[in-house]
Amino acid sequence: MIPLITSIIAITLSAGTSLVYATIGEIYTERSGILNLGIEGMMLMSAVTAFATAFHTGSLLLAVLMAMLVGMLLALIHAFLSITMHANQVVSGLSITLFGTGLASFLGQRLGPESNGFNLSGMSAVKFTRLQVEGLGDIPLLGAVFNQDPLTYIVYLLIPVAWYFMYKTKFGLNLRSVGENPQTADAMGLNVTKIRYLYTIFGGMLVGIGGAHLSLAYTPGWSENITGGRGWIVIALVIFSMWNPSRAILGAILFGGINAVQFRLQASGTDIPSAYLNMAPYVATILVLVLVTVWESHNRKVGPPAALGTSYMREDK
Amino acid sequence: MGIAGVAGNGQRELTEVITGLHPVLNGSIKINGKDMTNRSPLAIIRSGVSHIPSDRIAMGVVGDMSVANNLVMKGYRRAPITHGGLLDPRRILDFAKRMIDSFKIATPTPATHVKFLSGGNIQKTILAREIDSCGGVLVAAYPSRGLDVGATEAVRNEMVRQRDRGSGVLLVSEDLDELLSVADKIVVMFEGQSMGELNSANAGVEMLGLMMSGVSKSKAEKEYYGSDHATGV
Amino acid sequence: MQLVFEKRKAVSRRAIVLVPILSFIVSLILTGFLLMAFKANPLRTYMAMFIGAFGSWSNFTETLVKATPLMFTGLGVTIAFKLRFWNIGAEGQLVFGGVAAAWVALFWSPFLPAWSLLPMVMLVGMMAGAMWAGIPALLKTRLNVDETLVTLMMNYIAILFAEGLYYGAWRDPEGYGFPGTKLFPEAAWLPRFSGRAHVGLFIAIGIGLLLWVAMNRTKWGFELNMIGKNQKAARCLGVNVKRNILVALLISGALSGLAGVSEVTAISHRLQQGLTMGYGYTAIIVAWLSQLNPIAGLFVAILMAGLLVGGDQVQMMMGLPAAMGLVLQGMILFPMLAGSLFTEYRLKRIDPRNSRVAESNEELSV
Repeated sequence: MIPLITSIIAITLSAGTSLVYATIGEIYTERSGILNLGIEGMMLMSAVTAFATAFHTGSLLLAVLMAMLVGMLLALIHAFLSITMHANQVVSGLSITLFGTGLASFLGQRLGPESNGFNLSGMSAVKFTRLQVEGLGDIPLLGAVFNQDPLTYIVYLLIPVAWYFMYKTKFGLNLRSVGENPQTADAMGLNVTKIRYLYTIFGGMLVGIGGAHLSLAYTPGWSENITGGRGWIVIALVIFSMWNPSRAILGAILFGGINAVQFRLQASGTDIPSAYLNMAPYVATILVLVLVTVWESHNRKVGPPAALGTSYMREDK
Repeated sequence: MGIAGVAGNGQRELTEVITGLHPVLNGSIKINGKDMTNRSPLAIIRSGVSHIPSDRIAMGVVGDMSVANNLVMKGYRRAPITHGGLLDPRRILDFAKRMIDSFKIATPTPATHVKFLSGGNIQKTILAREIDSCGGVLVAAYPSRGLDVGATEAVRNEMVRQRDRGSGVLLVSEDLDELLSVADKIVVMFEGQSMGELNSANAGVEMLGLMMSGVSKSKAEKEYYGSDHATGV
Repeated sequence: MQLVFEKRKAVSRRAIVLVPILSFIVSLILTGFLLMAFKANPLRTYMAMFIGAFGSWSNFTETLVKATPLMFTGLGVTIAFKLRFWNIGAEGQLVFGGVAAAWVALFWSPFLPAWSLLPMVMLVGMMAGAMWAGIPALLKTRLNVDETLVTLMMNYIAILFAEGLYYGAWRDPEGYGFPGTKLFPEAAWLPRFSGRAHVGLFIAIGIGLLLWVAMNRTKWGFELNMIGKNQKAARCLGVNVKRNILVALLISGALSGLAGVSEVTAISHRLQQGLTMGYGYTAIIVAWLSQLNPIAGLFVAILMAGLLVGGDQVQMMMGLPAAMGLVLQGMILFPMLAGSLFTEYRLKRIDPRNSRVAESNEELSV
């Protein structure tokens, strides 16, 4: 029993890693007042970029950096459209997802080796391996926490740092005020446009790392549906964590856990058809969303940043 | 009937309860003799209530639709705008032109989106629509707030004309001169409660000011007339 | 010289027509750079795509085959977007409609006269699509749950549900392990008129025209417009916002459901893998590029279908991935979104000599 639970914890954390990166990234973006629904496309693009880079260069560091860069570039497009051009943020995010999905699929069929018809799927490349922390990794149950890949270890640090930055520093205060009330923030001398650009791109960078984790660590390799809607689950997790980076871990554990249990059930050969089993994360997302929304409507204190999704134009007022 | 009070003392809520936008928790609302407590906004509109809302851009108009369309946002439900089950664009235009003329709405064309108009002309658009469709009761919240002198004048004149025509006008305002010139009776509200009712003929600005700061009617009368006496005016 | 945005005095009609067309051209140019990066000649590629999609009658019928579900889903999404209800669940509504159609076609035929089978298939398919859109609409209007996420999650659920059926309970026992149901009885086939092009096309066009009238000439359309552009004002003016959202979403879902019905009854004649071709997502592009105009939407659907068919052709002829078509589609909305600003604003030059006298003097002296 203990080895089983240990393995479920291990898979949960590994499955949750990409979710935490992307959730924290999106929390920062939304806190600045920008809603980015392009996460799914950005994760796909960064996953294919990371894998292609790892495949051709053999460098994991370069692969992650490239994934970050791609995440930032796509976020930059969204920032330009929604901040500078005042485009509808929902549609802009959707088009990032549509574009990212299409381009990732194109690149996946084009960046592979000639011997495989330029196809990347089915190839293997260098990947992140689990590193056991000396001494701690042998503890029953808890050992799973210290038997992870480097990107997961970084997540352990990222969560408190992201929380501290947002709630305990001047920069975090500026970020939150821009998302709550850009008019006032502007009057206080903050550069609303610059701050929104900055955190939209920063969010894209974290999403990029999340995408890289998928294709380099969690399910090493490339397939067109590697994300399986994770980019959308992230949007739900942002609501679930009530725009607080420290709570990103809860959602990630919940959804990572669902993945892990699914994984174990399938491995143990259950009677439930895999299609129905695979519905679990999506059904859970809807349920969680309904519960959180109802709960939030009774607690006026929590809720989305007041200016989320609205563009800010000085001349308007 | 005028409602005086410093903004935020329940006047906006009062208008929104009357027009059916907020539920009635206790008490009842009678319109033209019929009980309309907790009916839908549409039922209340049908019973004859017109509403000039406090936030004209957010609640009074659809900025991204044309002036003509905004003018028929009450009338589109019935003939002559609806004709044989379909909206008739020509009749909408005719109606709009008439309204633009008679209310002197300054707009480049009837097809111009309302959000491109000035605040005064947006308010005139609302006024034209609400007064044309008015069936006896006009609820107006801060109708002249933020308008220039000309537009303010036009709005007040329309209120008076409505009253003279026999409609019940409920005017919520912070502008005491406006209340005194338009309303026959004035109720002062403070923290959601009525502080008393006055006849505008014998109510002075100072008296209203006292009641608006929470002094009850009887006390205010004493103080008001008392102080008059003391200074010997 | 400096450029700033200046608000126009009225919405520019010319910009409304020009922006989508220019967006398409910009998308072609941007994708051209991508093609050049992979050592493909953009002009030859586009020519091949064009010929593949529109070059002959038989190619064009294939484009119409793909345009039909795009019309249905595009119109469905248009209704929802008109209300600013972000229904991105057309894909799931399509699949669920297809599943329900298969259910009727496969299991009801013994109990129904042959003539009534197809109408029943279509009716139940539409109801299923409506139901799949009605759930998020109810969650939104009753509990204010974000519709974007619910509609999207329901895509995955519907797709997996269909998969569970054609891999499991409904799998054809004589299908040699092929993931799909038995062939439908012929009474449940939607007739084709040329190649694989079928009468669903005419139904879609008819609905498109009808919808244009409904949206522009009826009280219903007028209220939809008011709600979409200012929900609060609509409520003040006596419009029943919640009921309108629910009804509109039922219609929206029914149309996407019809897309699924026509796919299974006219194209595959069974429920099988490949029902989800992304039509529900492309529908978003159709709706937005047509600026929520149902008649424009019909043409945009044909254009998008052309990109898909053209992409397939390019793959066969030049070995470029068929996802080309998807890249082109995905690229279109970027210039479109950027360009929308110009319908309300225009660029204005500020002469620095007037606004910044001191600086220009310095420049002169240098």
